[in-house]
Amino acid sequence: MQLEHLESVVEALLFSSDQPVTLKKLQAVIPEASLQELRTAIADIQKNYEMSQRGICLEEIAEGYQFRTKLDKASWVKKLIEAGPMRMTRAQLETLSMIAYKQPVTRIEIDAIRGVDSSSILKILVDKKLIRIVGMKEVPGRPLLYGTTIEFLEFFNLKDLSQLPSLEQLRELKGREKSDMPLFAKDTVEEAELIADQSSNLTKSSGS
Amino acid sequence: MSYQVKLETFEGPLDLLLYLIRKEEMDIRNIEISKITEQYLSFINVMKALDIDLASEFIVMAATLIYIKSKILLPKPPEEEAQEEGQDPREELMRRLMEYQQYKWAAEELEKKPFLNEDVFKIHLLPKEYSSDFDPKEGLVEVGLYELALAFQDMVARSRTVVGHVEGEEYRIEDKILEIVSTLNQALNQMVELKTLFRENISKLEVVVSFLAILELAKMGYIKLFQAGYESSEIHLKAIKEFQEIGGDSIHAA
Repeated sequence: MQLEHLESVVEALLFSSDQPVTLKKLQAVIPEASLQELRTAIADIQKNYEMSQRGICLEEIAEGYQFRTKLDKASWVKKLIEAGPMRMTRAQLETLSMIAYKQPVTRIEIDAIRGVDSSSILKILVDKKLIRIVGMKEVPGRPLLYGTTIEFLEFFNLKDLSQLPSLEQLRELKGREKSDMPLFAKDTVEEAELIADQSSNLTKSSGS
Repeated sequence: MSYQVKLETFEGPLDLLLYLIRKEEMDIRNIEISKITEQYLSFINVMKALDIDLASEFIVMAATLIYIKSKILLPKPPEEEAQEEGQDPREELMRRLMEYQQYKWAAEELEKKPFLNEDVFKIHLLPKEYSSDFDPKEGLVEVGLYELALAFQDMVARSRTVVGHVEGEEYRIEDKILEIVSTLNQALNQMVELKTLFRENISKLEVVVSFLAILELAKMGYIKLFQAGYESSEIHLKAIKEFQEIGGDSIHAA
């Protein structure tokens, strides 16, 4: 097959799928092309979209390929698309990270790290399809094991799990920049102290 | 009059401790226990003053902190001192805080990624609806219980009859499911005849296990079974959803 022709076929296939298309799948559809030819075609398409003034780019997602809008186009697309983004709380993100790094992992193991019960968060994450039950641990009680899904990779724009920084890298990167960390809970405490002051004033005045 | 206030506060006692440590610019590996304990308890008192229901985990942590503090303050009996030399009573807490801290970091990194449908968007096709029990391409209808039972009977009848010595056999539904999935994957989006999944000279046990595997796949919503309208015609299988193998990938953090 002519390389230019192959490129257009691959482009059509990638365009028409709403799920990342793997090389394996491409080859199953185009048996005439070798893996090497397919890779070249994809790389050429990628380059083409990146260089020119296009609104979309070809990304490697969940071990496949997918057309996505470019980052700086988000504000426009959001005006058009009704479906709102998935809301993620801090607790959900932290729990999700634990599962991503430790999978397959049981609820008890997550509870131990967080120091609180995680069952409701796990349920939310399963409902959001970011995690799934991957089996049962062969220990007494046979607890369920959780792992991340393909949707997890899709949601966070990841090619595979190795794209996440290792815990070692995190320690090196984050251990130094102490002051840079957001004190996200700060306001809550100050507010709480403020309310406590006010409420004690209230009780005083109501008592007098 | 009493109020019941519910605030979105700290996720748990470890979260609160990490916050306090950061606020005091302490090192997790070298916590000033008395200072932290004092701050922790005053926070709990604030919460109590506000009549906020604190999770029992917060109280457990308060007890742990006081226990560690007392252990540091009290002189050790000489025989224990020799035993516990070099052991820091803060160690267990330190280990837990550090572990939690690194997942907090991981979460921060995760949050920096471009979110789908927030920062980046993909083509949005209408969900594939297979709710209709009719496949327009092939003109086939979905099979019911009766047809399945007939097909099963047919397969069993075709199975091998063993005369004489009987060998023990073992088949697992899990393996059969993977086998069927790979056959369906090779067929891409095409239909596969049910018959072709049962090889010649198959044993009765294998027929039973294969059938269970097919039923399981249908129940889980990965395949659909079709037939051309009348009983005697062949049953076809079609994959309708990507099959995710159980026990997927995992990364090993360094």
